[in-house]
Amino acid sequence: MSNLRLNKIKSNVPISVLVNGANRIGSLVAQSLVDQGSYVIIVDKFNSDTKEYISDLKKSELVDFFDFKGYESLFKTLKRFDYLFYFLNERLETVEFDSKSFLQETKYLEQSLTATKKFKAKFSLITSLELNRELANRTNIAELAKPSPYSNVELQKYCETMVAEFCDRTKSNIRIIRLGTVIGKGIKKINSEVLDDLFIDSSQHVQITIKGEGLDVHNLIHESDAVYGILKLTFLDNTKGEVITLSNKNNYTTLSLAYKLLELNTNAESIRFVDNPDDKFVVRDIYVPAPYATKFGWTQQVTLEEAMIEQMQVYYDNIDKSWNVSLDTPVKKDKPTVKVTKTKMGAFFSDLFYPITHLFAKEEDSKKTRLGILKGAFITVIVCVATYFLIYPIVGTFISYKVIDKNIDSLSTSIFDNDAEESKEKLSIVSTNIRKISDNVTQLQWLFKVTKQNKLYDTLTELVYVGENAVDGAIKLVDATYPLVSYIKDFEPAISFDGSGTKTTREYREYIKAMNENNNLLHDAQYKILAANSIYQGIDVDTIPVEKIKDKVSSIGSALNSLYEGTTAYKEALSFLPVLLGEKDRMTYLILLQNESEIRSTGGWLTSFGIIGLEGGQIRDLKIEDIYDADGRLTAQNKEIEMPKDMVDALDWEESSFAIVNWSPDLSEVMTLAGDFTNALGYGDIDGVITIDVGFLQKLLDKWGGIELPGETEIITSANIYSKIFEMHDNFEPGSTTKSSFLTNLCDEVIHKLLSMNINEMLTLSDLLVDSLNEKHLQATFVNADAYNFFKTRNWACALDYAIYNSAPVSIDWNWGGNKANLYINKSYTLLAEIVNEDSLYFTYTVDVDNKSITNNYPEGDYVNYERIYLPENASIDTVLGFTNNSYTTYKENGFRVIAGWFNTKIQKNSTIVVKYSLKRGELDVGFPIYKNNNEITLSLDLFKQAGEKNSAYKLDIIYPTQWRVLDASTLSNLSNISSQLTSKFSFLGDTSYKVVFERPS
Amino acid sequence: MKKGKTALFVTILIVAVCALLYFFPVNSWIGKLPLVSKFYNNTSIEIFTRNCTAKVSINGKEYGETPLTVDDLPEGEYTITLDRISSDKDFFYNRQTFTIELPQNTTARLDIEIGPSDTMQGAVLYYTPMKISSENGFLMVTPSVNNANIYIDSTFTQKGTISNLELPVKEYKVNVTADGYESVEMPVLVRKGYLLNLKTFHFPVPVILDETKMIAE
Repeated sequence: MSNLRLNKIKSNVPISVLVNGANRIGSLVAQSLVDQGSYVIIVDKFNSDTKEYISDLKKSELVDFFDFKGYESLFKTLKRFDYLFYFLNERLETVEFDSKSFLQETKYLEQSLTATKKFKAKFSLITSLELNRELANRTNIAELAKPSPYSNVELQKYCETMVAEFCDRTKSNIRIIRLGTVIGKGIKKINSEVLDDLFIDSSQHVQITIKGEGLDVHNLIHESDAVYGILKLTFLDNTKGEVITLSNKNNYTTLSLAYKLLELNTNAESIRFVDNPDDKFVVRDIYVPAPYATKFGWTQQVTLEEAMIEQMQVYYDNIDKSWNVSLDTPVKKDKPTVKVTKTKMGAFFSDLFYPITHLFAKEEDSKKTRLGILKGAFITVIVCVATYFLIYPIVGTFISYKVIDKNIDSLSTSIFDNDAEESKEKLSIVSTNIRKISDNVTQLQWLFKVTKQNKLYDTLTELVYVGENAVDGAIKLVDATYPLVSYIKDFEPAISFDGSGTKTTREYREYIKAMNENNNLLHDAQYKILAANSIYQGIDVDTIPVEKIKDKVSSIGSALNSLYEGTTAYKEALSFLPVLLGEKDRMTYLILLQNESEIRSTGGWLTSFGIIGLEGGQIRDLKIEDIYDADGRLTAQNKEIEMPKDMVDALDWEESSFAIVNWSPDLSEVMTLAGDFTNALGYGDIDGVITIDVGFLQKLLDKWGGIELPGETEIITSANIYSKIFEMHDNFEPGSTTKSSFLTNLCDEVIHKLLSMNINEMLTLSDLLVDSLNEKHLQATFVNADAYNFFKTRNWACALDYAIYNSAPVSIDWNWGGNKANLYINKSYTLLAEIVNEDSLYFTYTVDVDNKSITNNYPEGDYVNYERIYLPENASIDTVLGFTNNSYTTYKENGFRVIAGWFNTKIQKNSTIVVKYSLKRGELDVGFPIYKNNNEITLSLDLFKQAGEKNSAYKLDIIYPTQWRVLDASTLSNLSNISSQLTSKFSFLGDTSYKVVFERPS
Repeated sequence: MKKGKTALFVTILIVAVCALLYFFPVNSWIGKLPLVSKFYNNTSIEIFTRNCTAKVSINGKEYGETPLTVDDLPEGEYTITLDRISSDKDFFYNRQTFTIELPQNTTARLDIEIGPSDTMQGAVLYYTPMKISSENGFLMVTPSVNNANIYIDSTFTQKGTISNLELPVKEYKVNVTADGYESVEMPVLVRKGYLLNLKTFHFPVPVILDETKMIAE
């Protein structure tokens, strides 16, 4: 028992048990099972008779032998087995048993059945067909109906009955196989006395002796067919519970077999009939066998003749006698004894991969197969090449395009949500797929050449390049902006809207530091996007044949422009943003609230101011104060600030007052003067000034739907804000110190609400903020040069720079009267710029003021206004008309020549100022608005609009020499060109620039 | 039936090859194969630092000190960082980072002088493939200062930046000047099928106070 190699058997190896298996059929079955990878245990009595059958099997590691002693313990040791073949037929060679052997055999069978059920194995009982026939005939012949109680017939009958009952009872996978008389080259003695005598006579005697009439019937089977049949019937599930006859379907009589042997040129030459004293043969065989194995797919492989020849040879060999088989005997073909079949799916895949599997077929394959292999290989190579150079590039491009399309669509959402990681992931997918498209288009270049579509190929290549660079740039941009995005997401303001105290002490220095560190990434992003944008400009979209794609490509241009502008703006902003957010030091900003119903240089009358302290990205200080309170404190403390001399001269006002700190039209100048006031007031130096006006407050109130103010019974909205302001002014006189409490309270509430918003909420106001900046309701200037330049280049800094405003005049009003009237003033400007030649210009400038006031009661009334007109410093003034009493003064200031004087307009009246001046190109060619480049002449006209001004119209005429021709039509979007004159009429809402390119004859 | 099976086999083969090419593009792995990489990549990065020595890291991996040439890196994008080695404690030199692309069969070149306070002088030059059918090459010049004047073979070409300028294949001399900054002159080779990226960096021209003369009228 201990010799069993069960432990070495893997779980996936089937285990077969062959009871009574040490015989010819058993050994063949065992060998077949081993060949198919099964582990086999042969149980039998091992002696000299069985030795010859197991000697070869002993060499196999997959075969073990077990004696019947301790048979029961075998099934206790086995953890499993899959098949049990019970070769009862081999035991039935013995005709008579003693009772002990009989019972012992049945006991073995019973144990086998029990174990089969336990392990859910398949069981086959192999019995003798011949004995079953004998048993059947006994019921008909009285003489035969006297069996010995322990005969082989009885044993088979008992065992078959036991198995059948067990099967019915347990539904186990059991079948009974009644095996015919086995013949073949391994059968030394046929297990049938009659047939044995027949073969002995044929090989050793000249006559074949037949006892009786020779009509007894035999069912033969070749040993190979027997093995094949036993295995097949056991393996099949549909044989469960069946009794099957496994033999040649034909019944052969003894006589017919004798004749067959005579035909085989055996030793015997004739047949002799003799009486049989023990004749127990039936006259008529009425035996009906169980269903034949052919019903279950078994087919006989070896013919009767072939089998008899093999068997005859064995009988000759037994007596060491040679035998020449008849020449006309058919040659035996080697047919496989085991047929290998496939499942349906196996057959399908086998057929499918036939060309591949046959590539590796052995050399002995037929020529036809080799041709098939070659054909298969050829097809494979052709398909691979076609796929690589044609199919994949097309299919891959389509797939990649779809992937890109899908990700781009969802990308806009994720960027909006500021989810940097998601954006980056999607962009990476897009980038990868654009590269795939790039490779694919290159792969397809041959196709474009063949079809002469080189232009389309170039366009596609350029598009792919644009895509690659744009997406790479976007990825880097996402990385670069990540700290800012994180700051925006995480920012929590320290101050609360209701003024209940500090909400948080958190600072954001780490984000600000990271913004600086990502500068390199931003530079790369800008570079990539610039490359994409520049190549996009050169793409000929019309070469794209598909309209849908053409439309998409056309839309890329504006997106690229926006991306580039955004990246450039962010890059610019990054140079000052960390400083402005207080990366290292606390930054203090002054907020000035201007009431534009009384227009002043930077937009309006100052009523309130605020001081904001910013440190580490967090708001650390916020104070809002009435500007007249501040003036009162300064007066009380005897603190005096020197006011600008031109203001003192113009207004005849010598007192220092914070409320008129915005005398200069340049906000940076105002910031410098305001710094003196904030220092005097104890707020220290300021790092920037931000102005807001009532127009800005109205926009915010529209957005918020109004705001509640302490002391006010109704919600303040954009509609009622002016009526509240006018109430405040009822008893106001110029220079009075009446508190503008309403505006101060409003300013306080609005700024608190603004600064208590998180940045995401603030981003929802971005359009409102940009509009306000463009319309000068909101302005900002900073000490930091980068920040100042950022705002200045966008006309958001209220910067009156002589280098820019070097041609057209700039008109600045200073409303100085109890009646504000600004809201009732309609203004119109006309500017005629006559280009004499490329070195000389002549301007005629007219300002027309129409006072629509009806009464002299506030807010209507006479418009009392100190007017300043800023001209280029080198302007040669010809005519000045229209100032009150024709009294005006001129002086130089900050690179300008200023014409200043009172320019009042009474109610229901109209006043006009006319200024004529000329400009000539100086020796240094600096600051002249005409730029020459060979035959190209470029005229630059920049118009400055005063903040707070309303309802003004502008008419611009440019007369140029008749020989000249306007070159760049793109600058003429709002200029009409008639007879050497360009004309434009527009509402003067913000600073406006004109650049007109002419060509002059050489 | 046999034709049907052949068609099915061909279809499966096409799908398999397409899937293979989509998920494992040839370019992604062939350049990383031992031995093959040398012939396939044929790339080179040359790094020079004028008037100084700098430690070089490429994609975070240290490669030594300048001057340095790194050959046969697989094609792709590389981040090169230079840390100027200096014993002068009066100046603090920041780490400088450059991103370049390195396609097959190309050389990238960094020729830089690292100054204090993030200033640099010199040029970074690398190629990116432009697979269009033109026989010409392309040039992109981006100076680090605004409104620089760009000259190609001594001819003024553009103010600001040059983007995607198509040029016949040959060697050119690019000169970039800007008011208040030192100029950069660089010989460059424009190649067919490539965009040559030239990024120039400029030191501010130092103000020499000694030469200022006060003239009394």
